[in-house]
Formats: sequence, C-alpha cells, structure tokens
Amino acid sequence: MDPEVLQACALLFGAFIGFLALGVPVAMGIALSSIIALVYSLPLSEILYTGSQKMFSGIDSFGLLAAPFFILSGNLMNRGGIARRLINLALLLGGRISGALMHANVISNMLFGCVCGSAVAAASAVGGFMGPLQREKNYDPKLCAAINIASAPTGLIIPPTGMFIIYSLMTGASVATLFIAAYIPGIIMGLGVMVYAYIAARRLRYPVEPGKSAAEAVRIVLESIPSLIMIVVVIGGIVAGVFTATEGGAIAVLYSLALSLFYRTVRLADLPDILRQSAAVSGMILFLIAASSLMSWAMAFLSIPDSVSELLLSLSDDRIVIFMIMNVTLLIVGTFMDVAPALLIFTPIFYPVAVNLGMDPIHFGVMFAFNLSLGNFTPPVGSSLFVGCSVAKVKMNDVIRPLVPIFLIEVVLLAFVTYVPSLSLFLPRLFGLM
Amino acid sequence: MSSIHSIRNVARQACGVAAGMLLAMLSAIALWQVFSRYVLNSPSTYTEELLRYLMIWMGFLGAAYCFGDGTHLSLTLLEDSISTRSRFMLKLLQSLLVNAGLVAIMIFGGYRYVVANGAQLSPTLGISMSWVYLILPLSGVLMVVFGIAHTASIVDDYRKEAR
Repeated sequence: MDPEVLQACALLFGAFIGFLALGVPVAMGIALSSIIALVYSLPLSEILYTGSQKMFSGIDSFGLLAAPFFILSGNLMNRGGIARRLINLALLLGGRISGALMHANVISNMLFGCVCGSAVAAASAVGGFMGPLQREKNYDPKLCAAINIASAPTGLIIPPTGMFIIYSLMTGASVATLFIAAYIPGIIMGLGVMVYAYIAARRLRYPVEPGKSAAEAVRIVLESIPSLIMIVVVIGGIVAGVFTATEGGAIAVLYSLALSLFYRTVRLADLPDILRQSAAVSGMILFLIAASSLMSWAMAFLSIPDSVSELLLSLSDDRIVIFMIMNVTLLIVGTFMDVAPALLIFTPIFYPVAVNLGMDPIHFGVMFAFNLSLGNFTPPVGSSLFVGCSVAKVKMNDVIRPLVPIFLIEVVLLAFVTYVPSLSLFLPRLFGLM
Repeated sequence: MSSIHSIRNVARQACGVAAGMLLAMLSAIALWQVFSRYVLNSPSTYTEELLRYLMIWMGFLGAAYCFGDGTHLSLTLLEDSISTRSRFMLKLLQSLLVNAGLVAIMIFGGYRYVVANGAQLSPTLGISMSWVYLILPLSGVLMVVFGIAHTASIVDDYRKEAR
C-alpha cells in the first residue's frame, strides 16, 4: 500500500475508532474522523463546504424515502393488532414441535419480518408477547431470550428491508431483485435458530403444545390473512414493477394504518405520537447515511477503497479466501457497530473487490446483509440484543452462553450463503428479474 | 429551570411536531403519486422532487430531535466502567467534540453552501435551492442548542452528585 494512503487510512479509522470508544454518537464520529483524515489534503474551509454538500446529497434520493415509510408502517404494526395475529399463526405452525414456544417465537419473528423490516420491532413485539407464555410453561427465560434475540434479525433480511434500500442507493442494484433474493437466506437464518431450539428442547424435555381443533386452526389462519395480504400487495407490487419500493412503502403505511384502525389497536389520537417517533428514528438513520456519504467522499478522495482492494487482491486471488477475509472482517465490525453504519462504511470498500472477483452484486448484497444481521445479536453491541434483553428482563451476560452455539450455526449458514450463489439467485432467476 | 432548558424544550417540541407532520405529508404525497399515475392516468411531474426535499427536511429535523433526546447511537462501554468524576470529564469531552463538529459542518459549511447556491433553481419546482439547503444550518443550530442544553445538564447533574 502507498505510504500516503496508508497514513490517511490509519488517520481515518484510528480517529473513528477513537471517537467510538469515547462514546461520541456514531454519526458524529464518522463525520469528525472524515474531516480529520482530509485535513492534510485540503484546506479546512473547503472540507466543510464540500462536506455539508455531501451530507445533503447523500440523502437526496427518492429511493431512500422507502426507509422512513417502512419504519412508520412497522411502528403502526408494532402496536398489537397485526403482530398478535401473526403470533397466533406462528403458535399454530410451531405448536407440535418439541420446544413449541421457542419455535413459535422464531416463526413469529420471521412472519413479522415479512411485513416489517425492523429487528427491534420484532424483538420487542414478539418477545413481549411470547415471554409471559414461555414463563408460564417453565421455559428457561435466558434460553428463550437468546432465541428471540437471535431470530429477530431475520426481519433485517426478509423483505421489506432497510439495508437493501441503502445498499441499492450505494450500488445501483435493483431493490426488487434484492428483496426477492433475500427470502431463502432469511428463512435459512430462522431455521438455523430453530435447529438449536430443537436440540435444546429435546435435552431439556420441553413439551409440545396441545393440538388445536380444526375449527380453531381455520379461524387463526383466516384471522392472519389480512396481515399476510400486505406481503402480496406491497412486496408483490414492488417485485412485479407495479410501483417503486418507495411507493410500496407508502402503500404499506396506508394498509397498516387501515388495518390497525380497524383492529382498534391504534386510535387516531395516537397518530401524532407514532409519526413523531417514526420521524425521529428515520432522522437518526438518515443522519447516519448523510454522515457516511461524507466519509465515502473522504475515502474516495484519499483513494482508500482502491488501495484496500489492491491490498486484498495481492493477499490472494482465490475467491474463497477473499470472501472469507471479508466475512470475518464484517463479523468483527458487526459486533461493535450497528448494521446501517457498517453497511455504509464497508460497501464502498468491499463492493468493488467482490464485483472484480465476479460476484453478482445481488448475491454480494444478500451475503452482506446476512453477515451484518449476525452482528445485530452478538454482544457487546446490537439493537436486537439490547431490546431482546430488556423486554425479557435478563442481563446481557446471561444470554451469551445460549447465543454462542446459535452464532456458530449461523456462521456455517453464512458460509453456505457466501459460497452457494444459487441460494440468493434462484428466486430472482425464477421470477425473471436477472 | 434555566433559560437554556426552556429554549431546548420549546425547540425540541417544535422539531418533533414538524418532523412528524412532514412524515405524514410525505406519505400522503407518495400515495397521491401512485393514485395520479394509475387512477387519473396523468403522472404528477413535481411530486418526486417535492418528496425528496421534504424527506431531507424531515431527516435533519428528526436527527436534531434525537440530539435533544440523546438517542443517537453510541457506544457506552467506556462510560459505564469508569468513576463518576472521569465520566463527567468524558461526557464534557463528548459534548465538546459533537458541538464543535456540528458548528463546523452543519452551521459553517451549511451556511456557506446556502449562500453559494442562491441563484440556482430547482429543476421542476423552480424554487431557489437556498431554501432547500437552508435545512443544513437551521438543523445545525437546533442541534447545537440541544447540545449546549445537554452540556448544561451534565454540569448540573455532576454538581448535584458532588453535593
């Protein structure tokens, strides 16, 4: 690596890690370290002028608007009516497997992920509902919390997915194709958690739930249909090209609002509060994206991505090795950083390398999302981890033990997603999207 | 309550209400865009640009609101594991860094960007881009107000604890 680039690289990432360690908000750490890294190359007033421009242009995108819409629709669904009906369906589906309430928890998280792209919403809505049921049946609360925490991030992969909206903005890959590509890997991730839940349940001799009568089963399925139709309308409409992902997001808002008002879990008087909360979360993410585009500019100006790709390719020209290095790096990054900033910082660095090695951009995006979703539940930092622990009222240290085997299973599955492209590309090909 | 805190409370409330209203407007306009294309068969030409600019306004106002709330993502590993006095110093350092960064980029950089682009008009709405870019220094000022109020409460809390 060129010594000047190496110095810039050390300055940028050194300052960034320093700010993070000091507890400076991530977005400000990104912005400040970018300014510091550029100080030797550009006059300060120039950096600040162009920097503010980059912060603006970084979020000046119509496609990005899908993210706030899916946050808002997720917050509407979170209020009960829809989540509750999906959980009932999951209890029906997972009820006859040993450790039924854990399986129902995983399936609920996956179903919730199908209508809402937030691991936090899933971990709190589903965990909050399943926790008392699990305690009533004497399930180990720590184990159950770990199952909930590890399966909530499936919602980050199963569409609608904020990560793909951001990834598409940065790489130009089609959101519709990414959405459809992610179904199989997302389901695989959930099944991985269920495998562990099954093994643990057999060991602890957890019972199955009593079977439901046919009439009750039909009622539960019928009740869940209005919530599930959202998947057909919104994701189907986006994939079929009837409307863009952004418009699909707006339709999801309308649909979940109508359904929640109908179920009386949201009143019109609640709306200002829901809107304010959703706008605040959206603002937090948009500000992160804005700051990250400042960092992308700084990295590009200092030719960091080029040098890192040269460095990686000089280590080995074997795809298997390079992808392994990328995945290990991202797993480490993911444990300390939330998904959005990790995606924003590392896409410009790794994307060119992956494409250079002949990896399909869609496949790469899915691998990236899968990897970072694991970081969402690994200690010490992860939003699913924090919310899952607090909703189950267990300490973070207590969930680490059951999380380790789940993490190992998921890493093996990550290797499959990485090295078997058809897991990601089969569905897009089937639907004629590539 | 000192005056900086009452300014903060009013500004924070206004920020949250404005960002929430913008999000409601965004949803309605995006739905109108689909409606006009499929039902009225005359796709609206100006909504896409309008949606982008309104989202940027919502985004920066929402971000400012989070500064008022202290909910921006950060790592708390260090501050959780040190003494009260060191934590006080650390929090002051955090505030200093955040506010210095905000003044530099959002206010100083943003203001210059607004001034430099006064003559530029937006492609379809035809409004001066200065109005659009104004959100940079405007949200920057709000963020710094929240930042200063936050610093003041750090000092207050520390004094209370020391007593």
